[in-house]
Amino acid sequence: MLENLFFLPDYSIRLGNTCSVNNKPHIIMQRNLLCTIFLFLEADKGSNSQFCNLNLKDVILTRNITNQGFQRDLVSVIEITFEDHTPCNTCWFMLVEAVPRGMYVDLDQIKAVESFGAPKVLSYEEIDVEQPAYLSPEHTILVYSPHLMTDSKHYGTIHVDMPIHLRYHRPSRDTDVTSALVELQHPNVMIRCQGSASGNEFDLKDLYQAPCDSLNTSMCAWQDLKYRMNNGKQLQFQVPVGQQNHTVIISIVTFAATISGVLVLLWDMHLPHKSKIT
Amino acid sequence: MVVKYSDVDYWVFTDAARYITQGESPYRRATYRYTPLLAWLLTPNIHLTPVFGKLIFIICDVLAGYFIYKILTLRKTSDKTAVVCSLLWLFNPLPMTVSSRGNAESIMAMLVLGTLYAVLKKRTVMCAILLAISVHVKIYPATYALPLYFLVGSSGKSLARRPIRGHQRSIVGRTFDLFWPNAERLCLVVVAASVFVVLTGAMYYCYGWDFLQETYLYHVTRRDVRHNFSPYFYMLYLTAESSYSFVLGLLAFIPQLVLLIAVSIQYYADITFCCFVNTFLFVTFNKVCTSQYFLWYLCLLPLIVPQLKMKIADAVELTIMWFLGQGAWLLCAYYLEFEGRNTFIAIWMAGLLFFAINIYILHRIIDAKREQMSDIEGVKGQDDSSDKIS
Repeated sequence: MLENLFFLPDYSIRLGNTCSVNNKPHIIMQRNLLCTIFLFLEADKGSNSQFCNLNLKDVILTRNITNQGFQRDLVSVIEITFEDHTPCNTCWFMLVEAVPRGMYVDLDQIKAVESFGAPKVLSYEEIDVEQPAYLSPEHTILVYSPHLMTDSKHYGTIHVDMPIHLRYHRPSRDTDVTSALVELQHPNVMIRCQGSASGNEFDLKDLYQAPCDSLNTSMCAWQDLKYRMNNGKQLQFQVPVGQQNHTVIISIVTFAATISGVLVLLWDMHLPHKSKIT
Repeated sequence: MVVKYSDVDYWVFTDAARYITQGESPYRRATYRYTPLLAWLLTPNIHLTPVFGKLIFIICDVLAGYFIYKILTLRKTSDKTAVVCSLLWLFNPLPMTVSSRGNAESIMAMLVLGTLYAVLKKRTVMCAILLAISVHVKIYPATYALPLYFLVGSSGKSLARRPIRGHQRSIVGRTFDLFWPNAERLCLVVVAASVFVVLTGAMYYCYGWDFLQETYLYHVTRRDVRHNFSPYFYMLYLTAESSYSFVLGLLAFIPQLVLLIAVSIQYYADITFCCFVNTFLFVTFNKVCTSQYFLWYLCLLPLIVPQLKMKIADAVELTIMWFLGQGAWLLCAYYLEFEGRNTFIAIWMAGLLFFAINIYILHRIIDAKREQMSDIEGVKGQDDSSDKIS
């Protein structure tokens, strides 16, 4: 899916001088050797600490949805096992989610509930929360988890609990089809760690440059993890939809009701007064 | 324990105010669909305290209660009744919660009640100014423009009263008289239009097309087809992409328009009653109806309560019916939104039921009004006939 990022507008591969650690307005997710080396040279000065390779033995991702209906909670649990005695002491995770058209994440809601345990989310685009699915684009968002301390441990678990919403979908033309299907792909799980040394050797090709945190003030090197899914398939959501062939009857009855309402009230207003003159 | 009490809207207002303090447009905040004046008013949220806005809304709430009291005393209701009626608003849990959660509805309540107070004190200029500000903030007080126009120029004789003696102009003639401009009416129109143009022009100068789009055009061409109380919701959802969508949207304005004009002509002399009915009609027949809208006529309800010739039992019965209608709709909508069941037809029918209940309530209110007017005419008739005899 990261490959897809390369080909979406504004997510183009750029070579050369785009590796700086200034805040760029668009994601630069690049797999560029030069860039990564450059980043390390930069890393010694300034805010980015040295990238530490946590030598992971296993990464398991479990995805669940709670609730029914249009408002759901997406729970992602990342379990990692790694070697003891690693020089890395703190690790951060980032999920790169491809939010399909039929779904949205309310960025303002998430920001408001950050203090209640929601993850920090970075999106480069506005997400319109009111449009139906057929008028909405896909979105890619970066979901930042809280950090994980990794010294004197050899396993860790991270919970990411994010509220998501489903959009209204086009009414169905088939009376047998009463809901639309929305599929959420598996995310990319990225990790970056800090430590006293850079740990084991690693393949620069696995490193990507992305914002260090949701504030997007600096860029860091992130490692794309290969993980196992605990419960196999893609997440699927059923969204109730209206029936197209109801349209005529619904329109007629609705207008009949409102016109009747008008007539009743007009008649009421113009009834003669009950005169009480004796 | 931190409780998520504030409404989403309050964060929208605060964010928009923050953009203003940074010298930018409040419309950078998505879903900010109000006049920039509101965001300006709330800039102390950033500098002073985050609850400044809520304090303003609560103060407006209390002012609205005060206006209710003053209007009722002007209309010669007893002091005790006036106080009780204003308590119907002041101690009503709904506006209390709405204002303390950070919705700006109480500002509208205060502006609308202020407009009515001004017209009853025969302060046409003040009335026009407040009307213009109200319409600038939210469009719906434009429905008061017609009855206010009729009222300020009339000599106080209602069109609906049948004169007991003497020959009278025809209905057409009397309606013509109502529309005919005179000094007061021209004053109202000119002042209101000028204030509105100045306000809108100033905001347009500051924030350009965004302002017009978000504050006005969005509400008029609203295409959000998610479920709401309106009887039109399902029809608009199903036809959202069809070529008929625009025409149907326009057609849905016609019942509203016809009734608003008819009610304004019939009841303008009792301006508080007329405005209440106009707002109730507007909300009931509107293409979109959310719970916020109910406050628009709730603030006018205490004004008509004293004169409504209805037994308390009947009023309670109507109120219960209204709540039951709401409840039925909310139940169906809950199953759709939180349980994911396909209850579209049920929601549509509940919407029609709620609509029918609202029509019935209006029918009973108009009936009660007719009784009241018969009483007035009966008294006048007796006076007249006793005059004749002596």
